[in-house]
Amino acid sequence: MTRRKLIAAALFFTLFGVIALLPPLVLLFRFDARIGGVPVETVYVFVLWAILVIGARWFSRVLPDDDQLLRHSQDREP
Amino acid sequence: MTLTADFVIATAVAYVGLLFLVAFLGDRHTRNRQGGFLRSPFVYTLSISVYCTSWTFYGAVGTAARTGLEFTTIYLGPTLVFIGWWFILRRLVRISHDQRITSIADLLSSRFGKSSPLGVLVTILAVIAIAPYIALQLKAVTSSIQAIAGSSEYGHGSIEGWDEVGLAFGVAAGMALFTILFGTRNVDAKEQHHGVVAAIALEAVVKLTALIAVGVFVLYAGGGLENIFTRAAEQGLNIHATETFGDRWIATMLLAASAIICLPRQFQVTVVENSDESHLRTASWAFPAYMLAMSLFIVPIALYGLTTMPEGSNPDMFTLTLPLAAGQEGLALFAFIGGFSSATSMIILESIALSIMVSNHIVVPVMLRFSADDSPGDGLGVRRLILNARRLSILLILFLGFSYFSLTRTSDALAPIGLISFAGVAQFLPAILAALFWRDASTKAAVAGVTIGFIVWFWSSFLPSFASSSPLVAEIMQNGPAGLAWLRPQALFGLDRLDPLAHAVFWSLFLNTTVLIVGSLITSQSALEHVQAAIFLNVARHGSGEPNPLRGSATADDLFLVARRVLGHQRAFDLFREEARQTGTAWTSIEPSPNFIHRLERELAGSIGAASAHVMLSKVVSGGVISLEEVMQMADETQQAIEHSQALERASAQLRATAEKLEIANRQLRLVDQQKDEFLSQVSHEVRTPMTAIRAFSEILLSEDELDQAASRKFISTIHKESLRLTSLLDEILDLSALERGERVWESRPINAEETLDQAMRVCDALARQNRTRMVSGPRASVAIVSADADRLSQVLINLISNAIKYNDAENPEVVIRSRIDGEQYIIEVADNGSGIPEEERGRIFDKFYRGRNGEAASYAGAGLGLPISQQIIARMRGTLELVPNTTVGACFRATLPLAEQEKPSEPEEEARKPASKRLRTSV
Repeated sequence: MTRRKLIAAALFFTLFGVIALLPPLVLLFRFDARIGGVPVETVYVFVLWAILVIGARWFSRVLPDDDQLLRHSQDREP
Repeated sequence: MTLTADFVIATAVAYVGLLFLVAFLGDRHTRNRQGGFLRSPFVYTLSISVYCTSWTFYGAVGTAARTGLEFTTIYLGPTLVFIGWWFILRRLVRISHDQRITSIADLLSSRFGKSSPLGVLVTILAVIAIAPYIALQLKAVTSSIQAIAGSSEYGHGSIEGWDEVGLAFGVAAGMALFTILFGTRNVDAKEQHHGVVAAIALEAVVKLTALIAVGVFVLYAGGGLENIFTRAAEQGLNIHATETFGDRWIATMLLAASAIICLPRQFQVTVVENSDESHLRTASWAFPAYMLAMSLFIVPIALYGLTTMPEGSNPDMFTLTLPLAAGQEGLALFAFIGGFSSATSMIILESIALSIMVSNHIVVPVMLRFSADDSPGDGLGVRRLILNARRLSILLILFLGFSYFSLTRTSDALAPIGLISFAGVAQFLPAILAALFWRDASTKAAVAGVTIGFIVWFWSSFLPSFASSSPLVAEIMQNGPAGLAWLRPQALFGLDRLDPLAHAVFWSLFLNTTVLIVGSLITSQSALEHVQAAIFLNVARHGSGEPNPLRGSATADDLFLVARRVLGHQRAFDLFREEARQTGTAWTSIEPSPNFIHRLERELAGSIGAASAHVMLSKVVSGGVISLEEVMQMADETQQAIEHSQALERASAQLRATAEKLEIANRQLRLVDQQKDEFLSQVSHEVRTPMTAIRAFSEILLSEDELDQAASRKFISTIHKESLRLTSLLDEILDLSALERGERVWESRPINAEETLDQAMRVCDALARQNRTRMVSGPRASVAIVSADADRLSQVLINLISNAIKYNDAENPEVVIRSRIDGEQYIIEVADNGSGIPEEERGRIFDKFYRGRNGEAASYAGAGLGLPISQQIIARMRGTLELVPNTTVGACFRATLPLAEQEKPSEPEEEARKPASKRLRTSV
């Protein structure tokens, strides 16, 4: 993926997290069911949370290192 | 062993001693080894975890017990901000590194034109907004001590007889002492806190381990997750989040997300203490993971507490009381230390962050105003003053927290208190986002927006928390001030359908943002604001390409005095020595360059904030508020904008030109297409005429048997003549088309064109005699060497001369042939004395098949291709063939050919002798 696409993906990922955690989407999981004894909405929130953490870890590795970029560009334009 | 209050207090004091040791070692470690482990991204992440205070440790369980999943929003908001670190936090960190930002008040004041009033406003509001939060910590620590004291008969020990307020006062005093000892040893906000950060990181580990330990214990005691949930459901507890995902859910998530940016201590650890931007990368996932780990056991602990503890137990204290009730005193002590850790780390950092704001934005500016004289003192004066100011502010902050606690102690839950603070600091968010992303946000609008937001917050969120202790507040809550029901704090403008928190958040942020936006649209920025806005917005693109806001004349001595006042003698000396070394001048004769003044300002800003540093340097650096350089920068920006728009204009002009060219090309194509059609129809016509004759005569020959010999011979001769004409016509067409396509290849070589002309005249001599035309040789050039093919040139000349003879309708026809050399050109003219070519036909005379009126009438007319072919040939010889305009008598054709370059008329003999071909085309 290009730099721009990666940044766009990171933005989308963040926005996805926001949308997924807010009504109306979160209301989809508010029904009377339990997984291993735990209510389904609780499982949803925590699993989503874990997914966000894993995704953030991936993005933290692949997002471009602007510092180097910056240093280069500063070298070029004094 | 029974846990007593005395014992846990002693443990807490010992724990504080440990923290001191860690802080001390941390400081020494970083001094000796440039940071090392303490500057790792994980220590950075752990220090950010100061976000998880005793609100998390105790309050989250209480929230979970009361409202289920809602507690997660407090951590999900920051999670979202951190996974989106690239967009907000990264910019914040970068700007703050570049600008040496020391606090959130500094950030806003710096962006909005180094505005001192904004810095003061933000500082005061932050101090007020944080008071409930400090109170929350005091309350949590007090409650936890009381929980332990009340758990056994002799638990109270020496605090027997202390009431809640007294205990809280003791805790506050202890915390104040602790914080002063911890955080106010040095001045430079950039350098001082590695030890504190180390201690905070340790506390982060302790509180996480303690909470997980309690969680594991609860899982074990409760018989696993499924059992805990099942038993809770059996006891009629609502384990499903039936009411959870409503307006409150959204409001708390928004508040938590803004708190992780706007809380002074979070800004301190995330932005100011950040030593490397890449640490943010790790924190982006590690901090959410930390909060996830903190939250994992909250719900089980809450449910287990609700099912096993006696009715009326405070759910906020379950983390502590569950192990106590089970007789797990070691675990309870660990839990207490965990809670204590979370409270102390918050109080230490929050009061350090706030005290920096107070001293930089209130005390130093006031001091600068009142010490108009430039007496530098011993340099330590300012430093001592700043440190004392910070110590005083810490006392003030803790006192405010304690006061809030004692006024509102009847409210029992922890989390709502914290949310009041969150809603308060969230009022900075619109201004911060505008600082990061909106160039046109103006200082006046920011001040107005923050002020309005705070007034609404104060009215609808802060004030109602006193309802339980003040009958007046309770009355206002009920009926509004002076009976104005539409001003009721929790139903502003009659909006009473929302949850009180969501209500306060909505109105305060809505009005705040609206005022900020509308205000920015209708006010204009000062020059300095303009410059700062540009710097803030360009930081991601240009790094620290910032201008020097101060420029002017100042002597090195003046600057040194100022620097010594703030930084101390040694630091100031080092700075100036470094400058002297770099510029290669003597220490005493430094000419302060703009860069140096700028560096100095940043150094000072690191100690006393951007606004104060600016004011301080402005006093010694003469020159206006706005410097030449700033003007240049603004001019640059304008210039860039102009260039940009010019580039756009150029591009669009190019597009227009291209479109025009296309249009022209298209027209030409259409014309050529039309010409092709005309040509075809003319060719057909020309071919048809001889073909008709041939057909007619051959039909007669075939059908009439009785034709006499002479007639048939005549017919056959006509057929033969027409065939010849047809062949010649086809030859010409082929020749012309080949010429036009550039397929006729001939070898041009230097020839004497005069010889060729003589030859052509000889050839036409017979025709001239036949038509009784006098052929006159006019003035002639003696020798003319041109680069051409002799046969082809001859063809052209014969064509011109024979045309002049054939179409000459004068009584005494005469054709004059002249030639001359004009500069580098060789010119031949063939003129006749006939009736000439009518004006309207002149333009078309070189068209294919055009014969003119005379031509049409003449019986000897050719196909009308001679002139076009001649023109093509001459063009191939890089010459021109034209009809001389404005001749009074007859027509005159002129052929112009360039002289061959290497051949000069002075030495023509040899070339002239070159044999010219005898093969002449006479069919033209």
